[in-house]
Amino acid sequence: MIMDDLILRMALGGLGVALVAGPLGVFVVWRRMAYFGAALAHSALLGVALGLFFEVHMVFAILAVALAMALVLNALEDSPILSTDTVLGILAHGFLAVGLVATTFMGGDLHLHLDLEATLFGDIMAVSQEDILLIYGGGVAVLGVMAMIWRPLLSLTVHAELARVEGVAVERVRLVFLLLLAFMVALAIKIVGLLLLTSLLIIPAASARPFARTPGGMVVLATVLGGISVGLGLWGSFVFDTPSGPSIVLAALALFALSALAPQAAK
Amino acid sequence: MSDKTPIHQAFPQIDHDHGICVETALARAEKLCRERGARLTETRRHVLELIWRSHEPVGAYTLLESLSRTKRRAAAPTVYRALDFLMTQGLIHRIESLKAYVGCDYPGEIAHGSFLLCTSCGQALELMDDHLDAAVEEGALRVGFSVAERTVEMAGLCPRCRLAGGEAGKEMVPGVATRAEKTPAPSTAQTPSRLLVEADEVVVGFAGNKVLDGVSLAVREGEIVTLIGPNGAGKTTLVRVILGLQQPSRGSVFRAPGLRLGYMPQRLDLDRTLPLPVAYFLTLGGAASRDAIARVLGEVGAPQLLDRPMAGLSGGELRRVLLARALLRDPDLLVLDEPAQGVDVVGQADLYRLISRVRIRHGCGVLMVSHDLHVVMSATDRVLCLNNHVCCSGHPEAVSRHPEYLALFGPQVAGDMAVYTHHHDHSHDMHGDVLPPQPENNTGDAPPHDHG
Repeated sequence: MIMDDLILRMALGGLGVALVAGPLGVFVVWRRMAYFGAALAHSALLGVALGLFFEVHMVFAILAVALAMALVLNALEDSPILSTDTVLGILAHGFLAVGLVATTFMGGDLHLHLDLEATLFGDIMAVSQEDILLIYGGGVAVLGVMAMIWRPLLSLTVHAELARVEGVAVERVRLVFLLLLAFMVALAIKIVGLLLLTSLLIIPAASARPFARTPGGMVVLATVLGGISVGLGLWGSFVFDTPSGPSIVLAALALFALSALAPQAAK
Repeated sequence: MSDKTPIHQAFPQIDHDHGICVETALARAEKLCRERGARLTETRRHVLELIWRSHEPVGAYTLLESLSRTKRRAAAPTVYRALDFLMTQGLIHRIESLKAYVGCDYPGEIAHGSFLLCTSCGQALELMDDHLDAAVEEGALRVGFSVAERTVEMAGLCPRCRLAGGEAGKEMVPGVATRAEKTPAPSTAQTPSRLLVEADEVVVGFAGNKVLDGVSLAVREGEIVTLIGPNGAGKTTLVRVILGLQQPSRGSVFRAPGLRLGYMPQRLDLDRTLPLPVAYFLTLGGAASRDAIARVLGEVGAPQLLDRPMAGLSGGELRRVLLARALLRDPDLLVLDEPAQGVDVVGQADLYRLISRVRIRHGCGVLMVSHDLHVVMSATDRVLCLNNHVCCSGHPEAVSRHPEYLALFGPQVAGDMAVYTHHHDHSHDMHGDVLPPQPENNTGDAPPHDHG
């Protein structure tokens, strides 16, 4: 019974994250923002540390730091001196280092509470009912906003200047999308961990590409593939007793390999 | 409809049910070929259908291009043989001046056709007039000329374009009535039309490195203004300033209140991971029904692209789709940055014809960037030659002879110009303008030759 309850929580949590990751992930791929997602995720460690220190719920602490990171990234995106990938590299690893150092400065017993491995690689076993509520509540909010900005975001993804001439508030929509990504990071860190989070965004989207004819179709397909990856990964982690986060990513990777081979097989 | 009634009785409306015309034409062609025992093969029939589907005379190149997109892909010689066949059967005519083919409104009448060609919308109407035919024959006979193929071409304005172009206040043709409500018909010379945008003494960049140095420019309703200049002359920068994408360091930009802009960017770098059908791309500029999208694609001569993925489009197709997206916004001002980039010479001429037609049909102003004056010359009202500052501006012909223009583009281009000036005279003649004789340009020239 306890086991069943745990499995249900894990499945619900994983699927919830996959549901949010689908629509966001395709845009991350289309907008070539894989490193953006990674940089946001790297800031999560500092969030975890601050959360422990101030005794705030982890999700909110991570959210606060990720939002701050998103704002900094947004401000620096158009840096005239440094290229975007340099800025991303600096911030991602800078925030990670600050997070790691911050944990050692905290009181000895607090340090013990920090499960570094769970933060880095995710610990779906530890998903609580509260977490599930947060994932679905936050997820619905993220998807709602996503639906609102769908067309302007797609338009500026295709051609930012054309979108601006046509009246899209390009900067604002771009910022909203970054903030949504920050939300996604906060919601998903417990499931896959910060090092593997980007993979849940981009691998299902990349696998969906060869079969999608429309943007909406690609979103649906990416979401379904993400869900299947979560299911397969969890099943694998039970059967082979492997860590859950990496197992999910491995399942996504297997699906990607199949999808990459499929078009050639069809020829 | 009897076999003797023409398929089009008047200048076809853009929005008339052309499907019926196409069907009638194909049915008659089949009947005719059966009677004559001529073989209307699939390819020949398909070529005929393509010609008929087009609202205007269509070039062999365009035919080849549309064929290559279907399963009926055919090699160039096959298409030319099909065209020859259709001509000998009197199913199509060749309009020599346009190097294009048009469906015969009176199928079966071999080598026989008089055409009214609208210079602004490009549509053609076949006239059947025995007196005219007799007069041509007599005239030829008098000088001992043997007529093999009698195609008479008359250039001018069709009723719709005449109304849209000049006689303001009169009733409009149904197809353009809605446009007329929005923008009072482009007025005649005495009342200047509405000012759409104006850049005043615009400076971009800093002393010693000024991309734009005190550039002024105005575009009015119904006017085509072309920016030309060498690479790095600041053409795109000026366009960006006018669009509001970039702030000038000094100077001001006026945009008419409520101005709707249609913009056709120079490039579109689509990420290959984004699956985007043309129809979907066209909704991104604002909600548009599938009907509206299909109609506008037809207007830009690319109806077959509706469900194609954006990633697979050729240069010319992409330009047409971008133009369609701009037109869907029902713009007051169209801004086109290098509208013919990545398009071959034949396609370029097609595109510029399309643009001048769009201007008439929508009554909008057009600001475009180009680096080859000779191609845009006939399609433009005013030219601004830019090299960080305004070198010279005015009527295209005047600019083409301006010393600063010649210094900028060199004698090679200037040499080309002479021939094109001649060509341009002709198109002005059609509008009924009186032409001053230009001996300095015409004396030393080779006889008119094909530059298409």
